[in-house]
Formats: sequence, C-alpha cells, structure tokens
Amino acid sequence: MATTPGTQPQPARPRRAASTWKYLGLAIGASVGAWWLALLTFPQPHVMVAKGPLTPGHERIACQDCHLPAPGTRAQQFSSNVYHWLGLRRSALAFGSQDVDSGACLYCHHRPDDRHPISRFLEPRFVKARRDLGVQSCIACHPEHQGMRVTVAKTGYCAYCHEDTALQADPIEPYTHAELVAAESWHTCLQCHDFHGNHREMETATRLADGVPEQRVRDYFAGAPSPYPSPGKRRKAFDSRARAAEFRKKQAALQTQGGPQP
Amino acid sequence: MKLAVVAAIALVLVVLIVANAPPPDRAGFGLGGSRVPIATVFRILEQENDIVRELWTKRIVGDGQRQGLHFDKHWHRPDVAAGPLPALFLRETAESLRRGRVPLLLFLGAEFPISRSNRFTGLQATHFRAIVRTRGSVFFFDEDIAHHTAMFPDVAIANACVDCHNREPDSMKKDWALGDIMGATTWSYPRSEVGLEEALAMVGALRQGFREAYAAYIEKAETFPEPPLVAEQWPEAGYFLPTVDVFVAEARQRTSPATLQALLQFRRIDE
Repeated sequence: MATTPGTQPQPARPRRAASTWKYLGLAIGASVGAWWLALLTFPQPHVMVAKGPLTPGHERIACQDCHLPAPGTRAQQFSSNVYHWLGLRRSALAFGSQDVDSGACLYCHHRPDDRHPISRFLEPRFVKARRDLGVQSCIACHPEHQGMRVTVAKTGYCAYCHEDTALQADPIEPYTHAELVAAESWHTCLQCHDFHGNHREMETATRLADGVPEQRVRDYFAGAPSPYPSPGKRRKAFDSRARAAEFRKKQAALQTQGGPQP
Repeated sequence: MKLAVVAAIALVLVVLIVANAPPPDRAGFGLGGSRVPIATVFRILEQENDIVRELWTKRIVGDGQRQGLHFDKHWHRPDVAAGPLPALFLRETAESLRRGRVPLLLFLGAEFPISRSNRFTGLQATHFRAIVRTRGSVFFFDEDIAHHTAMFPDVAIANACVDCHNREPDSMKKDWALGDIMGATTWSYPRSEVGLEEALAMVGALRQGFREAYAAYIEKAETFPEPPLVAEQWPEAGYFLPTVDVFVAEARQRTSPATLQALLQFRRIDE
C-alpha cells in the first residue's frame, strides 16, 4: 500500500471480520428461510405462531377465522396509514390483519336470550363494572390463547350490579337472596345461575345444596368438562367451521360496501 | 452515493404512497355534506321508537291479548308460549342495534323497575330526576365511554304497561297510573354530529332492529301449541299476526313523514 510522507499506514481490515459478517448473514438468511419453509409446510402452522393454547372448544378454528385480513393490499394499508399520520385521512388502517374484537366472538356466540350481553354494560350506569372488569368486551373474561374458558380469578363479580337483590317471594332455601347478599356470599351465584344462560336445559336450583359446587365451576372455567346440563338442541347442530367461514364472507362483503365503523 | 440511495428509497416510498389509492375511509362516512347535530338524530330515533312501541303495544299486545295471545317477561323460555312485553320488544331492538355496524346504543331503565338490577344509578339517576321534574329530555356527554348521550322520558301510554307493573310481585312501585313517567330510554353515539348519510344509516339500523325484534316474535309464535295464522291480518281481526313485512311496512308508513321532515331541514341549499 502506498503512503504519503508523514502519515501512518492504515492497517488492512482483517479478512476474518469480513467473513464473519458473511457467515452471519448466511446464517440469518438460512434461519429465516427455514422458518418460513416450516411455516408453509407444517400441517398446523398456528401452533408455531400462536401466543398460547386456544380456549377449550376453539380447537377446530383456524387462525384466519378470527384474524381476518385487513382491507386493501399491503401497499394500500401502508399508504392509508401515512395519509392518516399526515392528517389527510380520518381513520388509520390495520396492517396485515384486523384486530380481533368482540364482534368476531359474537358472530358465533351471540344468542338472543343472553342474560348478560356485553352491550348491556355500555349503559352509563355500569361505569364501575366497566372500569374494574372491562365487562363491555368478551376478552375481559374470555381472553384467547390462555387455554382457559374464563380467566377471572374471583367468581364474586355479580356484586357489581346485584348488590341490592331482594325478592318478594324468594324461592330459595335455606337462605334468601337478601341474606346471601348481606353475607357477601357472591361465590354462590354461579352455583345456581348460568351467567350467559347458555346451558339451555339448566334448571335454576332452589336449594343451595343442589347447586353446582364452587370448585367444579372453577374447574370448568379452567377448561374441565361442563358441570352444567348438556346444551340444548340448537347448540348440538352448531358447526364452528361453517360459522367462521360465513363470518369471513360477511366481513369481506361489508368491507367492499363501506359504512360507519363500529 | 449514499445520498442517491436515500433519494431513491424516498422516491419509491412517495410513489408507493401516492400511486396506491387507499380503501374508502369508513370513519369519514358522510363527510363533506351537511352535518346533523347528534341531538337531532336522537330526537328522530326516539320519535320512531315511540311510534313503533305504540304500534306494538296497542295493535299486537293489546289486541292480541283480547284474542288469546300471551306476553310474558320470560317469553324466551321454550316452555313459555308468549311474546315479549313492550319493554322487552325494545330490548330485542337494542340487541339488534348492537349486532349491526352502526355504533348506536339503546337502553331502557327506570328508577323503580321490576328487576332491581335495572335501576338507574349514578349519572343516569341524576338525569332521570331532572326528566321527571321537567317531563323533558336531557343530553350529556358520557366521558367514561366517550359517547354523546340522550335520555327521553318513557311515559305510560297504555293500561297494559301500568297493569303489568302494578301486578308484578317484585315490582318496586305498584301505584302506577297512565301518563306517569315510568322510566327513560337512553341513546348513545360516539360522534357529536353526523352527515346526512350517516344519520340515515342510524335510522336504517333502528328499523332493522324493529324488523329483527318482530321476526323473533313470529319465530317464537310458530312454536306455540296453537300458533296464530301469520298473514296480512292484524290481531284486531282475529287470531292472526301480521307477517314481518306487513308489520315493518306499517311501521315505516307511520314513522317516515316525521323522519323525512326532520332530515330535510339539513339538506344543503346548493344540493
């Protein structure tokens, strides 16, 4: 290497450093390639990318049944978000897939006689239940990828809205509803009452001793088989895959129609 | 060289952003046209609701009871051969609204309801006392859910309302009379004003709610041990129920003049 007088010759960059970078790049490329190859060929790719185990009963549902693709192409999604960031568009657009909201849950789980539909809790007076429990959203109690039906730690949440329950002709024994409330025995509610009313053949017990033991309720929340009576005829004919496909089709049609955002 | 690379990347990004037309902005639905204050839309919706509830209460419940039809608070139970009471018809409508894509909410509550868990508390209890005092409506912003909200008085318009609440064992008040304010309807929406198109979508969502609520009743009526004939006729003519289309057409005929009149006020001069 030629040098000018008065300057120190620059040491040559070690060849080993360059090859290290090369091999590192090759290793990263090969890892990413192998991961994608596995993702595309593995029979159950969701197992590799899911945040956690599915809620019991959701085993037959595919990722894309809930994680619907966001409207538009990736380029459109990108440009929409830039427009939004610049103030040229009112709404941002999801990138890749849409957020999963309660609407997706309700497409399969909505029932006309739900005793506690989540929309009920959007009424102004339920402010405390909303703030403490988030009851206006399905995932507050039923978060997906936890492997459990219900993740609420305490079963005493009835206290938020039913603290002055008292019946004129109370049918239960040995304690009345008012006495159970006064004693703050909120854990007993779910032993006789079905929160969403989705066990259609369940008769409300009139004796506490005839109710479902609290531990079995907790086990059911954790994923054990239902201690309640079997579901009604309508539920027997339920096909989650067909319903999910119907949901995707409907969402796609709505996206092309436009309309105000929910 | 580096500058050229940066410039090339920037150029690609600009082309990507400009050349790709974004999908329709659904949050901008109705932008650019006339704006309708949400309080006005709430009044239109409440008027539609009043008219349809009266239709339900008098021509289905009232006339139906005289023909042998039953209406019960447990009407959803498979072993109860009955239809929804007026308050529950409203609840069915509200449920339909929730399932739709228009973020409009509707609730019915009271100070002395049959079920204590439906009793107004907090903000709603305060506003309800004002409604009883003035017999008017109230509008406020609910900061907790960031919704503009209206409450309208729910007046006892038929003996069926009064008799049922006075008879019910768990009713918190048993001396109701016609003309009393028995409760209030609460409407909520996330925007303070909407375009005409969005206002129409809200009216459409409510009417879809009426349709679904009535359709649910017809579905239930077909399971009665002695199902009524579902045809063109109304219960006043015998053991009949009008079809869903007949009921909806009657409701539309009664509600549309007032709704159209209210919305036309907001049509732009240059349109």
